[in-house]
Amino acid sequence: MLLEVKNVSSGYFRKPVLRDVSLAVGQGEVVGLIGHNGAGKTTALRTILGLVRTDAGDVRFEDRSIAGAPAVENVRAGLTLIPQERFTFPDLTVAENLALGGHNVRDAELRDRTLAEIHELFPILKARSAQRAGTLSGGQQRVLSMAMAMMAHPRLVLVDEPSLGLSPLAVEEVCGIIAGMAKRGMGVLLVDQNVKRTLELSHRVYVMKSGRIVLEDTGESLLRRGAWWDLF
Amino acid sequence: MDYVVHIVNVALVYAALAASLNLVLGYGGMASMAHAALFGVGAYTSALVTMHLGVNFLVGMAAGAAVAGAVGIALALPSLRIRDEYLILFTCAFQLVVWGLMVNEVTVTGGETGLSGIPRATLLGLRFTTPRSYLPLVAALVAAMFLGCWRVSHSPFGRVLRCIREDEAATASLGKDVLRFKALTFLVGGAMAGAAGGLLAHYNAYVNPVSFSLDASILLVAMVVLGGSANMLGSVVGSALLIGIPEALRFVPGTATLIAPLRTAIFGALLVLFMRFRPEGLLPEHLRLRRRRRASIPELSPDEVAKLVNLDEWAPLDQNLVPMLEVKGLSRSFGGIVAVNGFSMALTPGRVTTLIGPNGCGKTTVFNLVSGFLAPDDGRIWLRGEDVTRLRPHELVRRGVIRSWQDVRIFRSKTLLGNVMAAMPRQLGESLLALFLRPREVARQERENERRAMAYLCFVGLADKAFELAGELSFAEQKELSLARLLASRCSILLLDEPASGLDRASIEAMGREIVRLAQAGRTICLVEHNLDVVKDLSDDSVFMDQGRVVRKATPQELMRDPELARIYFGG
Repeated sequence: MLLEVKNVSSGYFRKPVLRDVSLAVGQGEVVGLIGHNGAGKTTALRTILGLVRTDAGDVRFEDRSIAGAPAVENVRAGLTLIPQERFTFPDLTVAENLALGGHNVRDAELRDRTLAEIHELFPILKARSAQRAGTLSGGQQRVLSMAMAMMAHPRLVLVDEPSLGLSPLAVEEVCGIIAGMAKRGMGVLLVDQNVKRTLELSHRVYVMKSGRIVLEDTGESLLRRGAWWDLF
Repeated sequence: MDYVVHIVNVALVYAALAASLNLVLGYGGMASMAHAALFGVGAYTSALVTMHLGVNFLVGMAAGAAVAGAVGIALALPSLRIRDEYLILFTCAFQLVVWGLMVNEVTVTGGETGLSGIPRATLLGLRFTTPRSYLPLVAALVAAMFLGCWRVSHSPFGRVLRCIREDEAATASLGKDVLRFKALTFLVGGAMAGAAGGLLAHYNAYVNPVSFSLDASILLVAMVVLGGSANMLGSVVGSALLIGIPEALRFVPGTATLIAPLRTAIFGALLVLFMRFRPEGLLPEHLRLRRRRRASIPELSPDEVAKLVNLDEWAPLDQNLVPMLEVKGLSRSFGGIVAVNGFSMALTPGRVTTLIGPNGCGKTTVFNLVSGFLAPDDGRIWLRGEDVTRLRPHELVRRGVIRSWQDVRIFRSKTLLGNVMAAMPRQLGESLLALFLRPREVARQERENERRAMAYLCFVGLADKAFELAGELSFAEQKELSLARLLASRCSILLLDEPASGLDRASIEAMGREIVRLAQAGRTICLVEHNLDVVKDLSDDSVFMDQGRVVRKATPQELMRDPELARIYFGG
């Protein structure tokens, strides 16, 4: 397994959020994490990356324990998080944002090659290279944030609410990118409010309620249920 | 020797001055850089009144206090709604303006040279001339001023000030008129500074603008911070140190010419070191917290708890179930985004109503509108037939509508008991006049409130932690404390913003039992909640919102059978 989270509890000062959470993400797999607001989905992503301290349990990435390691090291090791908000640097240009995304890649040649690939995949980012990221549309900024993540050559991408505030068309594009990441062999752990879309996109799905995983199933089988009220 | 006594006198005056600034800065959390200006206003007023009218210096001091208090209010009014760096800038500007007037209004103030020949103090036939003869008089007057500050700070009024310092919105949500408290604090602080200014004027027999410059204001802030903000004794220590140390350095041989630059360097260095190693000051706010009179509040028996909590205050239920609170056509937009659009609902006593809907559908905005934290663009809110649409939060709390916060917003630096007591309504000790004119009644009510606060803490199961700091509680306990605070307000309509979020199953169940119990006892309850288990277990009615509108009202079970709502909630 690419990522294994074993019995992890974590939280913010005096406020436990995750309680005994276990989950796994394999290579080339999109794993969805759904649940009610405040169930702990974002905290799970932040804990895995090392932004929230793990109080108990273990987080293993490529069979190495990364629980307690700082986020910077984990990003170098191949994890990356695309956060819910403030996911680009609005005052920097598109090119500068992408350069920051590849900040940890030492090999300049590899960096250039990735950038070329990204420009090919998302021509809009090439056309707007010199434009400030803050002046892009919400959908374009999302695409930029995905491209920034790809610049870092991650093997595991944690994506938090990628469809928030996007038009249906932009959501389609973002979903396409996520599916594409998995096809290239990256593992994706996806959190999104849009349950149906998450189920469609995910190979496997975990359901969280009040900080715990209450169900694990395939996206397909959950899709067949029609309504999910009892899970929320 | 006279020189040493002189320094003691000056340090005493500055101690009173620092204590008065401590009210504003330490307790109220308002960083005023204009305190020396108020000090100066008092000094000039007292000097001019006694020189021109020939009245006793005490009359002069009183006039100085009155004028400085009024100037304090004038300073407060425009600055009540600004905070932090803006308040600092604003008060700096105010300080510079007043100082400019002192320097430039030569006909009145004597300009840079100031006024001399101010009559010395006389009292009961005694004339005070030398520093030594002045010492008892200065000490007595400073003690009186200090006790005044002490009384205000160690009272229900001071308690509210510390709440405001920590969280203004939370304080307003408990029914306190935040603006009134802030204005009164500037009034008291200004008046005390004015009185201190008058005293210094008569003691020195001259005034000039040097003592009232921005530098002096900064020095005063340094005294408060160094001594310990929100600790009155700390201000005395701060004054003694910052007046005393540079003077003591005069006795070091060969430094006479160095003393001025050295003085500045010492202030700077001391402040830097203190901010680094002891940010809470020499005498921190909670010096003796742990040892506080735990024993003074007697143990309560379960019967007494039930009687004091008086859960059934709002029972018996009106069988006709007349709506308590009605909201009609409420709308509010932010910029171009319509957060709430024509929202209507009615809350009935004894019932729990839940707002549900996807993220960003406007639930919390509805709470902010109904609790007075936001003004609606359109629509009306009726409370028992009264139009309460544009009332401010504290006015609504007085009428019985109180809200809790998603992120709890307890006062972390106060004890649990202090948190609950701050929420009690109609406290005599929150009136400055009552504090000084009816001290016995204030004390009696305070004891009574302490007992009731303990009872509320018993009700939520936190009595054994009454004297601990709220910030040290676990999150579930903080939520319980926030519920105790709502009960202490004795409001009958409770708006609960995500009471179960972040809690584990056992705590959710405990919280649920308490909410049901409150509804059964006749309270009107509305909650926002995302955990649908909680919604199903607790609510009688639910309102499904999407994009600021009510989509459907029904029981939770009915809502969950609606395929259209499922599409909205889960995405399509």
